[in-house]
Order: sequence, then C-alpha cells, then structure tokens
Amino acid sequence: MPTPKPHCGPCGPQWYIHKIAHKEGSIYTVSFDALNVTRIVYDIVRDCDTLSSGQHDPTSSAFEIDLNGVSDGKAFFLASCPNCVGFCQPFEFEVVHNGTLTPSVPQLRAVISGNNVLVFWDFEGSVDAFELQATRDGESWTDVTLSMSAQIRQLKTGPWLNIEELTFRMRARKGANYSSWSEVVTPSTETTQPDVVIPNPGNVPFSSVRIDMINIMQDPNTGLWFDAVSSTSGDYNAYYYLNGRPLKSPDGGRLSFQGMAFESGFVDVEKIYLHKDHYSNWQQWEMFFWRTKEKVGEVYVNDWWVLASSQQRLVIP
Amino acid sequence: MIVEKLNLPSWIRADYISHIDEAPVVGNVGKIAALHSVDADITDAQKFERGFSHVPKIWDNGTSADKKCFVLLSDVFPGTGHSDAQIDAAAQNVGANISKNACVGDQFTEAGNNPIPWWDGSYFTVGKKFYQKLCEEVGASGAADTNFFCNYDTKFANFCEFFHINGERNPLHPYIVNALASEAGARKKGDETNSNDPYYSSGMAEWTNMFTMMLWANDGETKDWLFNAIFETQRKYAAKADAKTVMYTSPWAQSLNNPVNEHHKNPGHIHPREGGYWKVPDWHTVPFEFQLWVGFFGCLLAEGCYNWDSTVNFSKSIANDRENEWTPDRTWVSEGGAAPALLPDGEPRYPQFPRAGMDAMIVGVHWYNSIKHITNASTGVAYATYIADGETVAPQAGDPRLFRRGFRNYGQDTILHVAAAQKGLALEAIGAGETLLVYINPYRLLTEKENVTILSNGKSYDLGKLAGSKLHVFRVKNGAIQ
Repeated sequence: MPTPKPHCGPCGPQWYIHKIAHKEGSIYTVSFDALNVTRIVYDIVRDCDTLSSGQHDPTSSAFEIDLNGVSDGKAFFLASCPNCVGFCQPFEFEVVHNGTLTPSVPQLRAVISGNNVLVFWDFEGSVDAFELQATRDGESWTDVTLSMSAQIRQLKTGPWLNIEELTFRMRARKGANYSSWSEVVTPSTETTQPDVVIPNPGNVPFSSVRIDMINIMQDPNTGLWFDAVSSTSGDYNAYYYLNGRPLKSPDGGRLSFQGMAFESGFVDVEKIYLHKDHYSNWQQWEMFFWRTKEKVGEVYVNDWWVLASSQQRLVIP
Repeated sequence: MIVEKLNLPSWIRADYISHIDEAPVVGNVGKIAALHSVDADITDAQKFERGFSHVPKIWDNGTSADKKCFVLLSDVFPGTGHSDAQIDAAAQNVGANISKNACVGDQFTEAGNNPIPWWDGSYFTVGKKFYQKLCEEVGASGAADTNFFCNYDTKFANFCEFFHINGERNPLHPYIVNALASEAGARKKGDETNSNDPYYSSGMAEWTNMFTMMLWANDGETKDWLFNAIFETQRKYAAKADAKTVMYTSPWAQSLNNPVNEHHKNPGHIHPREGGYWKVPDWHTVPFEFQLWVGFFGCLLAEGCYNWDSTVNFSKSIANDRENEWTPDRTWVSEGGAAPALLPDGEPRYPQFPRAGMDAMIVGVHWYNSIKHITNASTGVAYATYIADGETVAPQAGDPRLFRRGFRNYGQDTILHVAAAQKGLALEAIGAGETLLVYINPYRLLTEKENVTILSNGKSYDLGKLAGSKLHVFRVKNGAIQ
C-alpha cells in the first residue's frame, strides 16, 4: 500500500502564485491561491542567482514584498511553505520599478466593420498604458482615448466618419519610458471571402432512425423536408423541436414540419402530441408543462395531456 | 484564402447500433473520452484506437486499471450505513480494481442499496473520506492527481440550472457573475442565499474533481444547455486552479418534470424486419448534434467527456434481438410477414433505442483531435469578435481567453453576456501557423441562418450563412488546404 502524504489542509498538494503586480516604488503585491499557508518563504531568482529572499506570514491571499536593489527584468518567485508538503509552482514576473525597461512595440492592426474601426494589437511584456493616435493627413495626429491596459490584446470600437481616410499608430508606455511608434496602419475591410472548403462533401450517406408517429421525408421534386405523419391525432396537436429548439413562428405560434431545407449534418427532430384543451400554444406548454406531473395519491392525473412523444434522428449528406 | 470546415465523417450513421469500429484509427487523443457502454462484438481495443479512453469494466481484471470508468453505486459500502470502517472497506475494494488514471464518479446518493443521505450534508462528509481513502489506495496525492469526479447529481455538480437563480433566468445575476470574478465567488452555489458550495467547504475538492453535468431532456426550456455548461467549466477552474472537469452526458433523455421522455409515451422505435416492423418503446435519446457538442467542447474547453449508458452487453446482430422485461411490450406491424422470433431476455442484446449518440460524441472528439495542434500551440482558446447579420459582438474587456486548467482569468465572463443577449458564441485559437475558428448559436433554429464574419488576429473571415443550433468549426492554414 502506498504511503499516504500528510494532508496539507485546504490548500491541497499544490498551491499557486496567482499574480505579482508592481504597486509603487520598489513594492510589489503578491497574490496566491492557498487557504492555510501559514508561512511563505521565498527567493527572487534570475539566471540561477538569488536576488532577494524573505518570508511572510500571510493573513490574506495577498501580501507585499520590497524589491529595492533588484534590477529590472524577468525573474522567478520561488515560494515554499515549511508547514506543509505542498508544492508551489515557480512564478515568472517582471521587475520594472527602476524604469530602465523600454516597452516593446505593439503590433497593430485595424479592420473596418460597418461604421466602426476595430483596432487589435499584440504586445509582449509589461506595460502601464497604450497610446493610440489617428490621423487624416498623415501629419497631424490626434489621441484616441484608451482607458485600458491590455495584457494580450484589446479592442476599441467607435463610430468614425470617412473611415477610409484614417490611419493609426500606437506605442506602449512603461513608467516614463515609451516604445517606438508602431507602423502606421490603414484600416482595411480585409474581408476575406474565404473559399470555405468542406473536405469530402457528400461522403456521409443519408441515414435515419425514428419512433412511430413521425416520418421526416424529403420531397424528391423540391429537395425540401416534411413530416409525412399527420400533425394532429384526435384532440392532440403536434409540437416539434428541431435540434433542441422549439419550432415556432416569430410570434410564438405552432408550426408544422414542412418545407424545411437542411444542409449536411445532424438533424434531430422531436414531436410531441399535446391535448388541445390544455395546451393550445407553445406558451401554455412552456409555462405549464409541469402540470402533467400533478399527482393525486399515486396517480399522475394529467398524464393524458401528453399523448405521445416521438423522435427522428437524421444524418443529412 | 481557403478555410476548411469540419464536417461529418463518412462512417457516421443514424442507427440503433454503434459504428465506432468503422471510424478511423486516431490513437490517444490526449483527453478523457469515457464510454460507459459495453459491446459484444466491438472490442475495447477497437474503441481505444478510435479515441475512447475508458470503458466501464471496473471489476474486470482483464481491463487495464488506467482505462476503467464507472459511476459507482452505493452498494460499494458494505452492509447498511457509512461508518469509517465501511468507507475504508469500500475505498479499498474500489482501489484494488483501478488506478488513479481511471475515470470514476458516483451515484452514492440515489443508486444502490446503501445510499448516502444528501439532504443533511452527509454525502460530503462520507464522500470526502471515501475519495481521500481512495486516493491513498491508488497512490494519488490528491484530486488533481486523479480522474475522480464524484457525484453525478446535477444539483451537486453544477452552480445552477440553466442560469436560473431563485427561479428566474438571469445569466448576469450577481451570483453568476461573481462565480467568474473570484475564487471565493466560484466556490459558492447559485441557490437562494449564494451559500458556500459544500464540495469546496468540506474539503472534498482536495480529493476528487467534479463533473460538468449535461444531461438533457426537453423538460421545459433548455436553450441554455450548452452555454450554461461552458460557464460551469469556467466556474470549476475559477474555483480551483488545478481543477479537472469533464462534460458528462447520456444518450438517454429522461424527463423529470413532464412525461414526454418517458417510456410509456414512446409509441415505439421503428425496427424494420422482413415482412413488417417492430414498434419498440424504450428510452428517448438526446439529439445527436448535442452529443457532438459534448465531445468537441468537452475536449476543447475541459479535460474531456463522459458518456454514460449502462453496462448492458449490446450486440450488432439482429439475431440477438430479445424480449425485454424492463421496457413496455413491443408491437409487430405486419406488412405481409409474421413476427420474427425473439430470443428470451438476456445478453448480448440488439439495442432497442439508437446508440449512435455515442458515435456522435466521438465525432466531436475526432474534430477536436484534428485541431488540437492549434490549441496546444496557442496561448489558449479565446473569445473572438464576430459580426452576425451586421451586428458586431465583441468579447468583454480584458484578456479574451477562457479559463482552463491552470489558467484563471477572473472577470472574463463573455459567455454570460452572450447568453444574456441570446447571441452566438465565437471562439478562436492561434497556433502552429494555423487559426481555429468556432461558431455556434444555440438560440437560433437550425433553419435560421446568420451571416457570420469572425474577426481574428486582425483579419476578418466571412464564413457565410451559418445555421443555428449547429456547431461550426473552421480551420485556417495560411491559405492552404490541410
């Protein structure tokens, strides 16, 4: 039998540094995910050199560390908790407070979408802000307000007039340091009209299985699909679901299953027969379906409000 | 530019029998694709070669302990009650038959002869002890080191049902929003008081993971079935950095609040035979399209998928068509011929309801397999901006990537906003020189099409008219057909 590891409490066998954020000066805030770590012992390591060490007895899931004297650049935060056997994943972060790092240049793209310009950018590294500017004449640049600090990519939408005339550029700021301006980009519709290719179209043959009281068939003349079984049975009317959605008109009315056009794929049809005196439309069924389960003693007295429930499963080539 | 759209493979059939043995060999997909169903004439090896990862032969010495799955019954606890000795005995018995890589859940609160009370919180007390002992038995250091997923009861596993809080649908209810905003918010339930989720507060989460439940029946309004499940996977990772979850479904549709998916309302599956056909009442089934979603999104956004059927030994041969004492009587409809003879009740048996739902799920797994090199090389699957019928729908501000195991992106709750607006969902991943684009709108009918353009990486891809309630997966490879 394997030797059980001591239980590490709610923090579990692994715990995590969630985030290390620059607060001010040489102070950084460390956030971690663990519930009962009683003491965190840590080293700040870069290229096998220990730049700083310390310990902290946390009372919450965040605490502050002072990295005075540590130069800018990427470093690892290596943490352990002497009171448990849990393992903390090494966390890589960026020391930035000395202001010696110059941000990298954002990679900018702009796409026209209707009356909007959608601006995308990719960026690596730490940043305090991005500056986006637009111009109409290529000389006079105007700031475009950005109130976000993106980590991966951000999006700006807005109404623009004569969008074809606008060009954009962007730079990143970290502390007092700015990156170079990005290349000037012209928004493009760039609407690719991709040739959407479906490999081996038509290779999947038609197949179908069904329950009684439904029979979805294809009209050989029109290619459209219909139910060959009546949509009424005595006092009951048929209601359909198509791939799980109720088949209803825009105003919520009941629709018959006819004149349907389907592309290749699964088509799943449910057909339920509901008594007309109790369910005369979709809304009544959706609000009061539960009444079919009303019980008197051991008897579901309204069970007969549903006559039958049929299904058909089709694979359309 | 050329974009490849994934489509159904040539081997798939809407059928009573599974055709998984006709699927291409794909090997290990790298995700859980547990098939809780047994076949007499399709070997487990054939299933494993085609992407399934686990089979429900937990007590079978001939099956690899890594490749077993099961949803345990309360019978594993000997006798009556759940003393520490009984819990240890159960865990030792189960542990002797599996490894930590087995995919195991339970139905301790409702199935078997020794159920654990759930209404008084006993399940979490007993369950924690059981899974802790089970981890010990299989040499696992904790939940993250296993494929254990505990109880399959939706009310335990999921935060809420279909974005409902206090009976009202509101995907942007503060309880739900908070569940993606912080670990503390994610460790609660979407009940009246936003109470602490006992799965976490009991410490059970350290010893077992939790399913994302996706059972389906047309029980009232189910339009949020998929997006609620995607939210639920996100919630699981928000709650615990190293959480695992798999999307769990069944080929059976079982109504709880109305009788439409009950045996006695089934007028009979049509089984054509020589000279006529049988009408055979049995389980209704979950739409195959939905099974496809479970397979694809389970692998794309979580650790995989679990398809629970039963351990009935099914046969592909009509010669094994049998009487069945568990289902209503069947009816022979003659078209000139006499009813064929049936074998007495027993196994192996020819299936009475369509089993192809499991095939549909594995198609979704295969779709994931065909694009996983993109996601594996990417920084993560992200929400994408799209334009549908002229309206632009953008992700919520901030890092657009979804939560996943080991990556928590608090505040990224685009799934809630598209659900609230009942709009489609566009996802993207960029890696290995390719782009993955996904679009789905479960709020529209299959016959309602939207003109969809996805904006990705500064390019815009006009994908044409896309049908509702249908999964659309595209693969872009720098203008070349892959």
